[in-house]
Amino acid sequence: MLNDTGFGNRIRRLRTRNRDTQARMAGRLGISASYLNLIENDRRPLTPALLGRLAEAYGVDEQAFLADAPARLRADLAEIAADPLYPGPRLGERDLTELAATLPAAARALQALFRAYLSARGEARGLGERLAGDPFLAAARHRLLTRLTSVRSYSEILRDNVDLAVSRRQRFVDVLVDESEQLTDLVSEIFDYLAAEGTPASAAQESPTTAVAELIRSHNNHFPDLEEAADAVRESLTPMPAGLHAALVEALHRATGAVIETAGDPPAPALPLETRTFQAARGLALLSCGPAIDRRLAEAGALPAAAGALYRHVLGGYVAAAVIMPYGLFRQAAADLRYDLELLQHRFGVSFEQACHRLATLQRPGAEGVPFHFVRVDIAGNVSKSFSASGLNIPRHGGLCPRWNAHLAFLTPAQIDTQVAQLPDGARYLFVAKALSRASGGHGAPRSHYAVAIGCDISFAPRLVYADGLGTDGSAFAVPVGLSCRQCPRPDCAQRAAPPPDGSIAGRTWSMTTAAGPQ
Amino acid sequence: MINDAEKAPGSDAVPPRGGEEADDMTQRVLVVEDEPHILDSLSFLMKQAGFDVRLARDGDAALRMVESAAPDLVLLDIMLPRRDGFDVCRAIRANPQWKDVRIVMLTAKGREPDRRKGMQLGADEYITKPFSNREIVARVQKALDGGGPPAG
Repeated sequence: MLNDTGFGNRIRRLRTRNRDTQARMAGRLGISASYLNLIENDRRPLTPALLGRLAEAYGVDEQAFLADAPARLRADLAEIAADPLYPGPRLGERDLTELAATLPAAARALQALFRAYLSARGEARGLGERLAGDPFLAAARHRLLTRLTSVRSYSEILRDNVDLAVSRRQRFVDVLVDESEQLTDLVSEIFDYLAAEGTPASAAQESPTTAVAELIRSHNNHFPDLEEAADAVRESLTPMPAGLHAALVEALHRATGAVIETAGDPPAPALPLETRTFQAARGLALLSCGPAIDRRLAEAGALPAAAGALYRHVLGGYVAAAVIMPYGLFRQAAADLRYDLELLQHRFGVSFEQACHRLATLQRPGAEGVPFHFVRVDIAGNVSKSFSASGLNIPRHGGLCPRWNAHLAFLTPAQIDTQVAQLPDGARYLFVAKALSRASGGHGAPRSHYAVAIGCDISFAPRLVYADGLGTDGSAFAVPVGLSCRQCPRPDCAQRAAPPPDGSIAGRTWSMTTAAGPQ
Repeated sequence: MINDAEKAPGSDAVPPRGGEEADDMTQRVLVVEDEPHILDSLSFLMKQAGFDVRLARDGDAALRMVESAAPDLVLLDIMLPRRDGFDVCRAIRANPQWKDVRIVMLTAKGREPDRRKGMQLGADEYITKPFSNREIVARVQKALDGGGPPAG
């Protein structure tokens, strides 16, 4: 389906660096412009022949190009290789690089298999838990053991008492026959029940959330056509004498005849203004950018209904964000305000999460903002959203490194926390995180707690207000972090939650310290 | 715990009672079990082992029988209609008059929490179903030998 080796981006970057148009570059490579466009969007593979011509025309080092380009794919493979599923000798850096560079199709097949495996593993766990708690099965178990108790006891009586009176012997044999008949019925009853429960048809399919996350990642979280569509919507709303929310409500009314009212008596807004604005913008986006969104859905191929619906919803949200924070304006404001999130919130009337999310989409070729990654974790550590343009390979499955300030942010709710984090490979990032608490109703209604974090490579940090005073040029302040414990080789981490990738002595030391450590 | 402390070393060697002794010295076992076939086989086994056997099919009947028949030991299933085995055990232990009654609990295999709960409530032995006949007779014998009424 989609090819996310990352060649496309690289070629596009090479082209823009050389100030070539698609047509001109296509000409130099001897292919059509539309074919180049497909390659740039990772819709067609980069063949060895083409790579050769690229090297010739642009003086690119083929090997370096191969080694760097599939970094994302290689990182995914590294994450897969770190799973305890593989007990044998670990796949080394070189194996992974080579696999990603030379056999991307096989690597993606491996990825797909791994995702299918994870989903099956989750399903099996869920099934196990469900069976353990199933009242029918608990009762059936008891009945089964009762019948077996009878059978065993009567068999032993017959075995141990050869001199039983004939009539009594006959009675005991009758009991055995009766019990075995009941056992037969009971066993078929249990199997019927299990067959009816069945293994769900979805067992081999990944969840809609995973499928959509993969789609977003494969596009680097940037959709040029949707940006254009959003710009058109924004234009149609201007001027907005009463503000964006009013303009959106008015436009929705014109388009559908619907009147958006605030519920309650007296009317009390149940949701903050930025949320209502976003929802109105999403509604308008789905109405007026239908064709563009439909094209993206068509391009994704045959998606299960739930994934398709979610993808539409997410793309609608993308357009909504682009309407509220138009690409050019937002990027300029971000640069002017040195990416000060709170000031951006005020200027665009958006929530912290909306501002962070939008920053992570500023990847228009030739007009990129600082490349950010974005993570949202809940208070239990579940990752509910993540994508990365920063080069940080956020694990796609399972937990994150507990040292990331995305988790620490919960200790200082509503305050922005900054952190210089250093990965085991030496790469350093600036992380900016904040814990948010979302009310769903009035007093007594449960609240949702999330932390939202963005981050960028340390080389971009000076462009951010958050780097001030952090001493980002020295490594003195860097917190040693990893990606996830399974992928992290650090032997001296006291917060380790899983053995290191080599499963070595360090792993045993880890479990011993954990067991014997002071509480 | 008390049981272990009081258990006589080499209790296997204690000579069997009955036979030459008077009928009222025959030890009395109350079997409480709602499953008729199991009740029947337990009754057969206990009689064969030389006990005076009484039967009850639910928890209420069990308590009435403890009152009226004064058994030395109650072989008590846990899953019972009306009043479960835990309840019966609790009621027996709550009455000082019955402090010497031995209690052997019976339940389906793999219910470790049940075992702990039964012992907590004062059961002397705990047997899982499906049991072996020899085992159940031996455990009943052991419970009676280990903690019978103090010798006068």
